[in-house]
Amino acid sequence: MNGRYFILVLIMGMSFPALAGIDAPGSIHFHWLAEGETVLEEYPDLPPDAERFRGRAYFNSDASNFGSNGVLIWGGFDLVGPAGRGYGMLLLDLDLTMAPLDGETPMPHGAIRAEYLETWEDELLFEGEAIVGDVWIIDVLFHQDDEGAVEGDFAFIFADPTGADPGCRVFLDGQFFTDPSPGKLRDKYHVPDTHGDATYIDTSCSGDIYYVDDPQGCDCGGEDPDASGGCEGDTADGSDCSGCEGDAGGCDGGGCDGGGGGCEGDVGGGCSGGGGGSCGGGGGGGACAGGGGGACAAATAGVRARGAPLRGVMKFFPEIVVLMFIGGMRRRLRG
Amino acid sequence: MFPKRLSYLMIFVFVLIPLSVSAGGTHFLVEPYTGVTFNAGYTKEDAVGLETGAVLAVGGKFKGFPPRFYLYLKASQSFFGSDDVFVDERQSTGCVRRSYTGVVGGLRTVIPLFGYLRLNLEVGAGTMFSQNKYIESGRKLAEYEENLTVVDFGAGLNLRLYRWLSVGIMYDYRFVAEDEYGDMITTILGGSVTDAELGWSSVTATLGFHF
Repeated sequence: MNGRYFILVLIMGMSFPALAGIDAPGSIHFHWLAEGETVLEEYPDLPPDAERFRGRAYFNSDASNFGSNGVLIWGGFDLVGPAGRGYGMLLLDLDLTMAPLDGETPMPHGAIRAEYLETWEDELLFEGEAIVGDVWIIDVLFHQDDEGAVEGDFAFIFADPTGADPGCRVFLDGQFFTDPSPGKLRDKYHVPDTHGDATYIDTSCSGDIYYVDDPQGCDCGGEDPDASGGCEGDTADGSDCSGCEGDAGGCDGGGCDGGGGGCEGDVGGGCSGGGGGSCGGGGGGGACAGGGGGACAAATAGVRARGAPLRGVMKFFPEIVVLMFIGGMRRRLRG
Repeated sequence: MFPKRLSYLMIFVFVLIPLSVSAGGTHFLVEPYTGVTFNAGYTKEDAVGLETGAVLAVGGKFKGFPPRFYLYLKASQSFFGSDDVFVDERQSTGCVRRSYTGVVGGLRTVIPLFGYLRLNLEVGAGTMFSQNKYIESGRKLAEYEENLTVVDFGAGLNLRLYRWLSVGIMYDYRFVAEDEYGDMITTILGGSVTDAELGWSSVTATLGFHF
């Protein structure tokens, strides 16, 4: 193939499908507690009269730091906190390719970035980062365009890492979901519930719907098939294992039975399982904010779409037609 | 997404260019333009922006039929600067910055009115690449980029001063032609889904070079 044509094909073919593709409003519900002075290191018991907050939310994959496979969730709600009247804003950035989809196993902490702000009259009353936190994804529909949907649970304790704002803020029994929810979209696209497997909807070309094999692999739940250490620490019983839970400084091993090194050493680790994208076991150094970039890539690459056999041809159909046309014109000019 | 749309446009141009060639007159047009653009969606924002761009067109007329037809490719850049928006629910002022880069292709019909005055009518479609940023209380809360499929309608008057030069004024309305459930910045500003139904109108002055 002529070099110039190859470059043209390369440029035109750069429309790689993204997994997430969520751009939708939604809601967050949660119990919220404020500690004005002390920083809690584990989840407190809920007072019997604890108020349940409801806030507006917006979900956007384009705004995610994890790229198009992630989703940034903005949630806002009115509150009266230790500093008086305020407005709380939760910013939750999730790498959805790393999410176990059983609703019970928490996401690896390397796949989560969380911040919490309280503002009023242009003043920042409280600014905190997550010192304890978990997110459980219940259901997600990936979509090539913007029409994806996600639903999940969360719990967090936020504190100011600089210590300038004393105390902490606690979110318990939190829920977030897009509107339309994954369930509504399943109805719309006539997609059956895949019971914990990811569903990827692609209706942009031929109208076909494609399902994706389970991309979650062994991260935080289930078994580590090769025991290579790629997911070590996460092979304990799923629901109780939260990787770095309670660890403000970087994975001292509290929490998971399967290994004190629940997060340490998992950056790009192991993962010889390949294929279906084993190892999402992020973690990494300090405060579990690292997270194996390589592991993410492996999980994404492992996704296989099932669908019409001509999908590959259909995807590049316009480019093929243009190339044939240009080739024909050149041949005609030479002739 | 964009390369696929671009390829459709290329097919359109390559196939239909030969049809537009006719005897006499000029067949090519390069038309830079500039003007103001108004945000017809995002009702929480009252932004007026500056738009600048250029039209490349090729076409001609059929014998015995006065209107001329041009296939055009329009590239544009719109800046809305920093728009301060007061947010009632937290008594705060948020700063919205949006800009758009558009590539639209379509058909322009040029209808002679009288003398050297002509009426331009356009219809086209393409893509808009939007860049959006939101800052509040000194914190960047959201920044994202989107590709939007748009449909473009335009109308304007054009005065052919010389065989090679014309000036004109155009009004364009461009709207998003895909399902959108809302907009993140609009939601942060306290708006609803219907506050984010997006379109732009623009009034621009044009300078056309014909050859």
